[in-house]
Amino acid sequence: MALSKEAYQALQSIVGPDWVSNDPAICEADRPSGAFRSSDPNRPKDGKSPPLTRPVCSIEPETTEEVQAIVKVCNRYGLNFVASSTYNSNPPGIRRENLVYIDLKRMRKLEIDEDNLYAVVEPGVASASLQGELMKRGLMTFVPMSGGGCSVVANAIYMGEGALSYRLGDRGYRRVLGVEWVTAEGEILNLGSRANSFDYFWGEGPGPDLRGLLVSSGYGSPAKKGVVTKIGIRIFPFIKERLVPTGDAPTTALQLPANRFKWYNCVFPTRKAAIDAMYEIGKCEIGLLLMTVPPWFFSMARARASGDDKLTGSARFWDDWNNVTGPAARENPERTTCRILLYGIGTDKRLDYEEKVLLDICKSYGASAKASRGLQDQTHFMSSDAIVSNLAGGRFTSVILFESLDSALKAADIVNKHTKKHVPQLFEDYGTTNWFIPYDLAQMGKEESLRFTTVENEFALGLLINDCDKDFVQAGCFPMLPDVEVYGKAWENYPEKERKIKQILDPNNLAPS
Amino acid sequence: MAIKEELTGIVGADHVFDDAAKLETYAGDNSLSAPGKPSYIVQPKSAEEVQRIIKLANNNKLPVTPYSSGIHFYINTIPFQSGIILDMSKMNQILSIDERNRMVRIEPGVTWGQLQAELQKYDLMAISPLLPHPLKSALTVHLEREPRLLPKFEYTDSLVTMEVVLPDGELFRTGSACVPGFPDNSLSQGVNPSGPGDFMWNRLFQGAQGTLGVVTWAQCKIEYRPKVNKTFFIPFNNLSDAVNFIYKIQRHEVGEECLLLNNINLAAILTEKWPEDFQSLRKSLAPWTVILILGGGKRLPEGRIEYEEDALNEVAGELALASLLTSLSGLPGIERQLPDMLRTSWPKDRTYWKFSYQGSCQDLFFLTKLNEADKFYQVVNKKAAKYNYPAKDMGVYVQPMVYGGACHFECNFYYNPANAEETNTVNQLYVEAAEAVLDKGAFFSRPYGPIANMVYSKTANYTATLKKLKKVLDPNDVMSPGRLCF
Amino acid sequence: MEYELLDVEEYKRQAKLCVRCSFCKYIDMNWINSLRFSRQCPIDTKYAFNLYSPQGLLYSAIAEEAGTLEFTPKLIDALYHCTLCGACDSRCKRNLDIEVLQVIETLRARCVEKGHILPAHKTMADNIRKTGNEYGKPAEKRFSWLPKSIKPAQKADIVYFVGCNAAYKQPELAKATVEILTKTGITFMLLADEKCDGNDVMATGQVQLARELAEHNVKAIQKSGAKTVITSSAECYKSLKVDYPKLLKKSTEEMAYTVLHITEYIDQLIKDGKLQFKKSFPLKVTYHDSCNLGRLSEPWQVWTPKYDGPIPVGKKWRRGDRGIYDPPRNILNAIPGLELVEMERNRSNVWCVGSCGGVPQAFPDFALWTAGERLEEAIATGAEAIVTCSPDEKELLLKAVEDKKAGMKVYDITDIIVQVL
Repeated sequence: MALSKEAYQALQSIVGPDWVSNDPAICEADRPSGAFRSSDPNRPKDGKSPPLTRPVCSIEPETTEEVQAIVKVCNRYGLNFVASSTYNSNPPGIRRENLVYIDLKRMRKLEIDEDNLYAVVEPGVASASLQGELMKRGLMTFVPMSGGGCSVVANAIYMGEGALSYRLGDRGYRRVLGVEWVTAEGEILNLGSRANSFDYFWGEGPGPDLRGLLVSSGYGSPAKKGVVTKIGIRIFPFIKERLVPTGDAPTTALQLPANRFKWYNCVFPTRKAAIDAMYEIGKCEIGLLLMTVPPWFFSMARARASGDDKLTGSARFWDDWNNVTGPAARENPERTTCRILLYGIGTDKRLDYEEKVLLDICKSYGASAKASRGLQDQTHFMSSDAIVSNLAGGRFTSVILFESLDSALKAADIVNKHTKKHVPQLFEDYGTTNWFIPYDLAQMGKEESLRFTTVENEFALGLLINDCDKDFVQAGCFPMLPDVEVYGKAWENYPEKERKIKQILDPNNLAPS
Repeated sequence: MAIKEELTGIVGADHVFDDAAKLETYAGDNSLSAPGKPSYIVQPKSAEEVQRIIKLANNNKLPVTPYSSGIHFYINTIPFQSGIILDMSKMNQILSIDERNRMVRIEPGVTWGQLQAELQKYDLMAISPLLPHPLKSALTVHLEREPRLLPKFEYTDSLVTMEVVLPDGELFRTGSACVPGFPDNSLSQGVNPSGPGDFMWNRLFQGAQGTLGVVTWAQCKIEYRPKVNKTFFIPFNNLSDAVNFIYKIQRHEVGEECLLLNNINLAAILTEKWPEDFQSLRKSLAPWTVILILGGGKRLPEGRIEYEEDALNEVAGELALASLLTSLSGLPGIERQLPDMLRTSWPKDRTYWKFSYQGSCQDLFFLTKLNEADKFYQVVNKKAAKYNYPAKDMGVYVQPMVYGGACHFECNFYYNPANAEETNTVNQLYVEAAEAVLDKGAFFSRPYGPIANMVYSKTANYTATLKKLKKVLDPNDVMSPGRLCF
Repeated sequence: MEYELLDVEEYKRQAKLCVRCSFCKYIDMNWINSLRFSRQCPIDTKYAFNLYSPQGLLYSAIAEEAGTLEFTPKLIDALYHCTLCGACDSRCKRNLDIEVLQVIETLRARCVEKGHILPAHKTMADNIRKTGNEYGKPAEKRFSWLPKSIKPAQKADIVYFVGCNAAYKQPELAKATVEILTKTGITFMLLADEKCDGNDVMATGQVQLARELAEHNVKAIQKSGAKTVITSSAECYKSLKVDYPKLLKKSTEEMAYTVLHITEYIDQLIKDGKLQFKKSFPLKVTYHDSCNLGRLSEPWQVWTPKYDGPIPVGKKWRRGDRGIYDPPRNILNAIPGLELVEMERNRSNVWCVGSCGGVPQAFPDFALWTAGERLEEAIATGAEAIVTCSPDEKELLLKAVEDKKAGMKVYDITDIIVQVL
């Protein structure tokens, strides 16, 4: 079924002719990216790249009312739809036929309540833009490690994790407050305090928390459930001092004030010792962020250093990996570096305290701890060096599990075992690119096994995930995006329960599944 | 087979009751609501028994009202449409304490005091609400999203995973507890609340007041219990100044427990000899007191207290505060006792603090922003004046949340339950005050009793979606019918 | 197989590397200070459809090459609204090193090859062919601005390349430049046979004509014997330094001349202690980094695509961080009484004024809007004036000032230098 003239005219009447188009070039620009993540339910499972279909039209609403009207038109004419804002990754359902692509980029309003630590945000506001506004007010937000260009709204209701999850909530669901949501049926459903006022300051209730129907945290995109047009998002106290930006492409950074921050690299003899220490660090409640640093990351960082005549870019990366960092990793793959940012919020005496505690812990766990000379950040406050993982070959994906750190450690072994089968399509990493990040002061954690390849070999990434799935379900792992066919029955037969509830929100089954 | 026989076949004769005396003890609660008329009291001892009871209820279209705490205040266990009261108190095991991940798995019958006493052996604690009744179910505290004394963002979303008997009798586990073999034979340790699948199921069951299923265990976050503490009492003459202080100190992320009480409530909590000490204490206390407890960390505890006290002094200097008290006159040693006192339930051997003053208490509470607290205080005071309820007799408790990003605002209308006129007055005051604050933007995230009707009449689509959800999960409408908007 | 400007396999490879991270749409994340001034791509900011973005254009390039997309009116519209400012290229090279700008330039060249030229761009090209300048003004009037008091040499090591805008529209800039050169003791000549540098021709994908102009002007320079070319036009600077070597398949260092912007020359005099400004210029100003002088001006490097796995072998990167950013600032800071304040988006994070890429010719309203955005940013600094190094930019900013009835003065840097010598 193509887009009928009547349907197109109906869409035009909502936004005006300038903001809707079925021109092939406009629709081509909205087709799915060839790159995929393990979070993409349409990832290739058979070793082939999936077809890259084109939406039948793109439409750009500016208000919630327009979004609602568009969704109702889709319901009337049986058109599939998907919403996107900054399009940091392919939303599920992007590959369906007869797709109306609802681009929310024009919805860019932002209000900040400094006293009460929340902001009201529309989908077109990127995380780094919000961070820029907040930092000059002595506040901060979570910026995902996938990039500061991610939409605040989309990231918060879908994933929202990174090294700052150690302190700022394991994923976006911890920070989403009131919500304004156009369901797949075209109803406006307001959640939390927004339900009975225009205030977004709180997310729970009234009564049962219907954010449970929306905010998925990696187990299914909210794109499946309609269009979220506004959220209240939790923001956090921060320091008064400014983080001063320095440098130019490719090496830019934020200079961290020395009385408030200190980076430490702590090298542990084994991965287990690092995990044990991270648990303890969490229990002692020190640091703003904490994570292990796979050796690969050191090569990445050097690759982004500018240099006149030195190697730079991917050439520098491979030179470093092949000749320096890689051999060291191969020789001792168990040796694990943790990186922690100590944090003097409230008083700079806190920084001294945190340092003493950290050194005490390192002594207990046999780590050598060294303060970094540089006091800069490129990764966490603005996520300016995101996606650099693609520099190696052009494509990467991750096998991700969110569970306890101990669980993550064991699951990593499964991923590494299967990875070996897919080398050389995947780059050899000697089993060292498992990345562990504690969340919520180590009450939870993430293991992300970064796997790199080239554009030509990206099918190998899908095959790897397929292999891992079979062992994960046997071992009782809890990966980020379970294949329904593999996990559904084993996990409380949830698809059947879900299907019935989704009918409430999407009776015509037009949002992606 | 008669219902009672079937129930007996499930739980045993010692755990099924239908005699009038027993039924009456479960029929009402400590709220102003009229009691219900349950038909049976059933005490299951396992999830399997709960499942069978629920299935029986479905087959016979019998309402089921879950009941875990031995005492209730908010109408959420009154059976509006008769049926079975599912007394979960026999399921009272602490199933596991996971020190490493700082999680505890508990059954519904575990009381707050029981839980904290056990956790203290490991230098751990659950984050407490304000002095819960000794019979209070720890699981219910989490399930009903009761406000906690530590406003740290890191400790929020404390209910992680759970096992639920759904209204159709099926057993369901949420989050990463859903994997086969949990907890003994899986890599998952039940610490991820998301899913399974596209929903965060654990959120749907929270705040549901038993209408969407029966929780048979829950895994909740626990934290390190400071061994070294320093208690501060910061007095204020008015609510606005107290709020201003809270905003500033929370911005420094300093302190463990942080709460604001007016003199009535603080006196009610601290008085040991009633009634003589109460009157003198309420007069000697400042109109408002912020209690701030600095707690030492797991390592180098004194170091943490030192820098936090530094920050506190800085804030005090900025605000030109007259005093940061580390003791209270007439209460020697209270500063040392208070941390432990606040980290457990009210002692069993003393009259509950909310009953000591007048005999009973009706609580009006909602969420708002700290800088609106005074506005609501004035609104309630005005209503109280209309009913000649003396404002000076009203308790107020303000609990900052998430570093001052919001607060739980609570007014406690103390009254003598034996005095019918007083009871009636407080009932009317309660309802009118609730309407008035709702009109001014108060957010009742936990709407109980008559407030539920007020709230759901203003949230059309939310209400409609809840009803649709209920229909899917509970097609026979057996779970707590008549509650919330159902 | 070669396309104009880029080998086809390299063209496809670069376009396919895009992972849609959206970095191309924002200034460098670390430098973001506000929501208002966080974006960097004019077409993405104005037009919302993803086609109107570097991402969209790269996807179009892939599809067009594969034969699944034609040059529809919308594609042409989006493609030519792009100002080719290079913001996307610079930002992408923060992390991914994709040659975004080269893909877009090549897509334009393909568009022209397939017979699609916007009327305004055709008119411009026709004018150049007939009169040597894009305005169609008489060729013989190219140097009629020259004051009688200034006598360029017949033979010198340095030639002043004037550019069409200064020659025909804003002669005061050409006058100021020659006065500066004279007062600082430079012996210079004019290029008798100077023709349009071809910046806009190159930018609009009319590669053949651009190459003809390059060959002509390079030959003229060689014939003059000059070793150094000085210009005060950012556009001409970029043409001479980057586009001409590119068109002639050489690296910048292989060209027979060195090109300097007037600001580089003056800056060097100040550093050598040979120049001190005597007069004061009491004004609070903000400086606009011209894309052509900044991001786009790094020396061109010839490279034949060769890969060792994913690694480009022997490639030298141009990321936009080594453009001419400091010399104009050094000059302004050296002027007594002048206070320089920075806009939020500066240096390689600059927001394009909209005067390049053939945009003012074909889409004057959009160009005006883009300039207006920059003007808002200048106003937000509290500055009384905005200073630029490009006649085209000055012209457009003046229009924006008039359009918004703003009280902001607009200067070319030569306007100021000549007053304080």
